[in-house]
Amino acid sequence: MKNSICTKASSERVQKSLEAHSVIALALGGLIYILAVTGTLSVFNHEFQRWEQPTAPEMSSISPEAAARAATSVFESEATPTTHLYINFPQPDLPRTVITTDTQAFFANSDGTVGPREHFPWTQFLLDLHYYLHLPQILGLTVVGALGVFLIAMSISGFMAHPRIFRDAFTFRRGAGRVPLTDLHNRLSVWTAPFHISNALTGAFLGLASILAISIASVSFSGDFFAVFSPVFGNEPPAIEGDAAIAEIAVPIAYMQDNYPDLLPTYFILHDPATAGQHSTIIAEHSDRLIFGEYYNFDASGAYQGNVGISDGTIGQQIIGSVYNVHFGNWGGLPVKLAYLIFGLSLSVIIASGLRIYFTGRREKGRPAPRLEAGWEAIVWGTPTMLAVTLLGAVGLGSDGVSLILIFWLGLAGLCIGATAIARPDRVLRGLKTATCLFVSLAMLVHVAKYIDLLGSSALLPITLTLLFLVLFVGISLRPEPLRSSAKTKVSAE
Amino acid sequence: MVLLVLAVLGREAVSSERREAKESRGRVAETEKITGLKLLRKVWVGFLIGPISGLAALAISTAMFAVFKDLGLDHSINLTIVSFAFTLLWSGLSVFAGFEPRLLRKSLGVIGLGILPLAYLISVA
Repeated sequence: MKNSICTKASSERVQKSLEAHSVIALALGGLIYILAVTGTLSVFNHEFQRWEQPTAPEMSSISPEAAARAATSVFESEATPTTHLYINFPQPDLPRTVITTDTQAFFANSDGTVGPREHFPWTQFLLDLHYYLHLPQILGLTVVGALGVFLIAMSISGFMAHPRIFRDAFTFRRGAGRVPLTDLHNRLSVWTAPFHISNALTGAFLGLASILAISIASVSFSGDFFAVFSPVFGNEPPAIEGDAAIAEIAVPIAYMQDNYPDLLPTYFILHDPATAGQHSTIIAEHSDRLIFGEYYNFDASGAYQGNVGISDGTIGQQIIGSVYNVHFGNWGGLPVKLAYLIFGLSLSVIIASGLRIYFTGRREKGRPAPRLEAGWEAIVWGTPTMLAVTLLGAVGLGSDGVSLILIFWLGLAGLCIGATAIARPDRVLRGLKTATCLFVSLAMLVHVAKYIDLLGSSALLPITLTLLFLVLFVGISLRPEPLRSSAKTKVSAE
Repeated sequence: MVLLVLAVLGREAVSSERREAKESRGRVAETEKITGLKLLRKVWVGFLIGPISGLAALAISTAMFAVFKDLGLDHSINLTIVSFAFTLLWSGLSVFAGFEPRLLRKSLGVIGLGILPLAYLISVA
């Protein structure tokens, strides 16, 4: 009797958890899927930047004098003085020096002369899609952070809905229908849980930081937003009016090279250049640490003023400083990026298969929802299709900025509307897979034709080969499936 | 917009499915009224799962920060704790709002958890 009550309670819990899981997935699955796909691609944003602009000058390092010369040239060329002047130093996966102001960015040559303008519209479009869903910044960050929260909620409700999920960790039943889809969804969810939970948590942390800081500031710091973050990241002193000669740039960079040879400087930032209050910061990566870097501060003469404490301050500073790298996977070189690629693809498959389970279940129970199912397929395969279309637009037609945003969202909307009108999920799936192959191939061919002389370069080859592999992989999946015997399909439902 | 349309289509599909089930059992009386109430209930549950849970979690996290600050906890450790707490609380409350079948209980639970820290913050302000 007691056993039967326990079983009934467990069954009710499973049913209620499944309902919570389905409600969130049905309402927000599309947006979470777009974030999963774009997040996976964003891990390789440095590689995409190099691929988009392969003719940019590359170097493994730059001398302090050359970097200073290039930065000063760009600063002096500006009609309106910039409030911040940045130097992005060469990195192993992005061996380029870039001088950035409030309004523009130029590459620097290794001799300190100014090179061409930095221009990677598709990568920027991709990053903006993942960071903000192309919404205004704080609103976009908050929406993306909230979607991270709902991904965690789906993980929690998913685990609650499957009490045997760990016991069945090695079960995979082949066949047709809902069972293999369910097994794929559940097994991938278990095996990649450490990744997708930590990634959703850090993504939500980053996305919701602004709105939480506004709330905390209004209650505990009289509305002073910066007082929330300054004990962690340091505070910027108030600007002091009055002209001055531009601050020392080469001296702080040389100081870092001489005194911290094991660190890898990533950015030099000159605050309020050519004013009486100007001062500079160098952000440097610490190898074998998860933190994104440490801030090293200098005055206008280049005299070292101390570090902020991301690397050696409180445990809170070190944890907060590690969140970004844990989320984006840029802490362990190519092996970690490849791991994030596999985990990101798995998360995309988990999300896509989750709603396919729902629709297959409805079909098997004689209650199909073909319009909705076709609409879901349009999101699942329309997202890579439209990313490929925007890539072709950026590479072949020189589209950038707002035009890429319009192409993507209007195109995806059109595909969803068309798919729901057709109401044939299988046709939509095949059609969009074919379209993805077609547009990726076209973008690749246009790019190869434009930069045929650089085809073997390290800036081009990895992404071109990856795109070729993607086309082959998706193309192979388009082959008609062999007919399975009816005996094989008779597998019991989970 | 398209995602919103799909969400509405999904809701309609679920509603029509339930409506058909009811009709097949012969319960045809006052179908429109019941469907309207169900739709309202679904919209309210959507608000509970999304923005209301979020606001409740935000109120709790902000109050936690204020309490820990008064207790003298280091600022950056405090910020780290409440930042993670905010996301976990929001996701936990969302699951609770989706999981709990009784509308009144989950509404009181989520809103109550948001109002309590708000009341604390107002009292100490």
